[in-house]
Amino acid sequence: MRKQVFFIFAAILYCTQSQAGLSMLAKPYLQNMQPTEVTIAWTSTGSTNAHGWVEYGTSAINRQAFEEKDGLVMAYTNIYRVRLTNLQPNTTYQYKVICRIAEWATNSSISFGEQIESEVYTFTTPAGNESVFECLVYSGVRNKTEKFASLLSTNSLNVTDYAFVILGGDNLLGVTSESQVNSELIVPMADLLQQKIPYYMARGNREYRQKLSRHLKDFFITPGSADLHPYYYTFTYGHCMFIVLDPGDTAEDADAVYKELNTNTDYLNQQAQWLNQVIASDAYKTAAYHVAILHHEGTILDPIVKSANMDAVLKGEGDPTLTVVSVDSQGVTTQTYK
Amino acid sequence: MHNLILILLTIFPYLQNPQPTQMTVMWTSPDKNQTGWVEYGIDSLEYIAFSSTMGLRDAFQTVYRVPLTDLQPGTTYHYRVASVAISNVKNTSLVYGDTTYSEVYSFTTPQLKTDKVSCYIFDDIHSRDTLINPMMSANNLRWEDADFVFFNGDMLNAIPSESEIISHLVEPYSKLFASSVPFFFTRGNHEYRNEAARILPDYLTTPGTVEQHPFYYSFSWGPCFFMVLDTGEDKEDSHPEYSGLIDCQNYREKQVLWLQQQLQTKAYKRAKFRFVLMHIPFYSNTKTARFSVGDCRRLFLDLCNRYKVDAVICGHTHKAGVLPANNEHHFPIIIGGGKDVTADKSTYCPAVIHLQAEDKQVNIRIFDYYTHLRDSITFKK
Repeated sequence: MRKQVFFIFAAILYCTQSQAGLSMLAKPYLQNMQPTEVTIAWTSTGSTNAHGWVEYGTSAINRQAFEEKDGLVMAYTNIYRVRLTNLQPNTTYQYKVICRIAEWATNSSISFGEQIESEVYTFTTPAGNESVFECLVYSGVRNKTEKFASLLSTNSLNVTDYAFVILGGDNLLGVTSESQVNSELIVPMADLLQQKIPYYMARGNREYRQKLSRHLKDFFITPGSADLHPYYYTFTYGHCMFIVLDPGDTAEDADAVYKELNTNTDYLNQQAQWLNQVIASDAYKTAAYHVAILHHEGTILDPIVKSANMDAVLKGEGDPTLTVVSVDSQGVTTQTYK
Repeated sequence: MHNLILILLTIFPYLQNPQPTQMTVMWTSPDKNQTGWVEYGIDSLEYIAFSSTMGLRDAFQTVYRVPLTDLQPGTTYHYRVASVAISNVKNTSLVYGDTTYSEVYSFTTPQLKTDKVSCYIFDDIHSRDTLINPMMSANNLRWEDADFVFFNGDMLNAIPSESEIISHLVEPYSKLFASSVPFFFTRGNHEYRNEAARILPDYLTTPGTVEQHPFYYSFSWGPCFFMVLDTGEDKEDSHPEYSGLIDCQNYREKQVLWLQQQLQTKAYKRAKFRFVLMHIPFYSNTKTARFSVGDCRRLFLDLCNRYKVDAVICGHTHKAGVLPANNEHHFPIIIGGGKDVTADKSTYCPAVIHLQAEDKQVNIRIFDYYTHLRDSITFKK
C-alpha cells in the first residue's frame, strides 16, 4: 500500500517537474541598489531544472556573476537573484541574464539543455550624495494590477524621472501561488520599471494572507534580507534615510479570521526593539531627512515613529495610491495620487 | 481507503541540535496543507511549542522545525508532535480539519557538566539505510547507549528529490533512533549531487544553522570538543562532471578562517580532547585520492597539527581503519565507512565508529558487519 502511494506521489512529482522547455517569465528587476552593488532578479517558467547567471560590464559585457550557497551554485528554481558587487558609483552598466536547463543524467553527470538569454539592458548606480531626487510609493493596488501603469499615465508622470520605487503594502490582495505573484506583481513591475529602476518591497496586512505568504520573500532582496528580516529595514539615498516598517496583519493574533496562524505580537516586539536601535544610531542622526513607510497604524511601532519626528510617514489608504516623494535642500514633500 | 489515510498521517519526529537547555524537534508531512506543534513536558505534556517566521506561524510546508527552549539540563522530557489539516484557505478565512498525533517519545537533555560522552558515527551508507540495524545487532550495539549519533557524509548517494531525503534519511533514522536520540549531520561529496541537494539544509538543524552555515560548526560534549567541517565535492570545481554548478573552493577557504577562530575559543582550550569530524580525509588509505584529499590537506592539515587535535575522524575511502600518527599528520586519522564485499558491488558491508569518553580516556572502536571489531584506538590524558 505504502509503495503504491509513493508511486502516485512520484508520478505527480514527475509530471509537474518534467515540463519541457524553459522561458523567461518576468524580465529582470533590480533590487537593493546601492552605489557599489545591486541584485538582479528575474523569473522563468517551465522546467525547474535550471540555473542562471548575469553577464555585465561598463563599456563591454566582460564579467559574470552567479549566486552560491554552502558550496553549491544556486539552481533548480524558477526565481533567480544574483548580486553584483564592487560596482562603481554613478556608473552605467550594461547587463543581460541567462538561464539554462541542467538535467542530471546520473549522480555524476549533468547534461545542459535549452539556454535562453535576455536582451541587453542598462542601469546606473547612484552616486550616493544626491541632494535632489524623487521616488514613488505604491500602496493598496491589491489585485488591480493595471493601476501600477494607469496611476502614472493618468497623472502624466513618467516613471523614468524617479530614482526608485517602494511597494508600500497591500499591492497584492492575498498571496496564493507563485504564478499569481508573478502575474499580479513581479511581471508588471518588471515591465513598468524597464529593467533599470530598482524597487523595494514592503508588506501591508494583505501580504500576510493565504498559502504562499510565507514564500513571498523569495522574490525579493531588500536591505533586511541578509539579517533575515526582509520586510523591515532602512536604506539611505542621498541625504535621506528611508525606514521601511512591517506593522503586520490588522487583527489580533488570536482573531478568528487568522485562526492563530499569525504571530505578530512577538514579531512587532522584535521590530520595535530594532526601530529603537535605528533611531539611536549614528546613521540616523547623520541623515538630513527621514521618511518612514508604515502601511497602517495601530501597533506598538506608532509611538516610536511619532517620537522620532520624521519628515514624512507614508501610510496606505485602502484605495490604490501613488505617492511622489520629493527630496531637495528644503526638505521632503509628498503628493499622493489616486 | 481508511488504511491509506492512517499511513499517510503517521508522523516520525527526529531530534536535532541537542544542548543542555534546548532541543529541536523536526518532522515531515506528506501534505503541505497543514500546520503543527509540539506538546512536551517532564511529568506530563504540559507545554506547547510551535515555530513562526516574520509574524506568520509556519504552515503550508512539508518540513517543520520547532526548537524547545528553556529546558533543564540532564533532564528527561516526554513529547509528541501534532499536525492539523487546513483547507478552504481564503483571504479572511480557513477551515481546520482533524488533528493527528505522533506517538509519545522521550529524550534526555545533555548535562551541563559531565565527564562522559558516547556516540555512534556513521558515514558512506549511500542511501542503504536498511543495512544499519543488522550491523548494530551483530555487534550488540544499542541506540540507548548513545548520547547522540553523528552522520559524517555520504549517508545519501545523491539527492534527486525531497523524497530521497525523507525515505533514506529522515524517516528510517527517526524510526531507528532519532525520535529519542538526536543526530548531527555534515555532508560528504555525494550530498552535493542532483536536483534537490540545495534543499537539504531545510531538513536539518545543526549548531551552524542559525549562523547560516549548517554543515560546519562546533560543539562540546563531556570532555570532548568536536569541530565539524564540510569538505565539499571530491573533484575540482571546474571538473566537467559538475558543469560549473559547484563552488567549493571559496567555501573550503571560508572554513579555514572559521576553523582558526574555533581553535582560539575557550571551549577548545578547556576541552580535554579535541576531534575534527570531516568526510574527506587528509590522506587516503586506498589507491584513489582525488583532488579534494590534497586540497583539504593543503588547507586544514597545518592548523590541525599546530593546535594538536587528538584525532580527525573521516570517511570517504570505503576502507575503515586507523591511520596512526606520523611526521605528516601528528594525530591519528580514523576512517569509518563500509566496503564493497563483492566485485560487482552488490554486497556492501557498512561500519560504525563508537566513540566513548570518560574523564581522562577516550576509546574509539570501529565495528563492521562481517569482521565485527575492525580497529580501535585509545586516547589518555
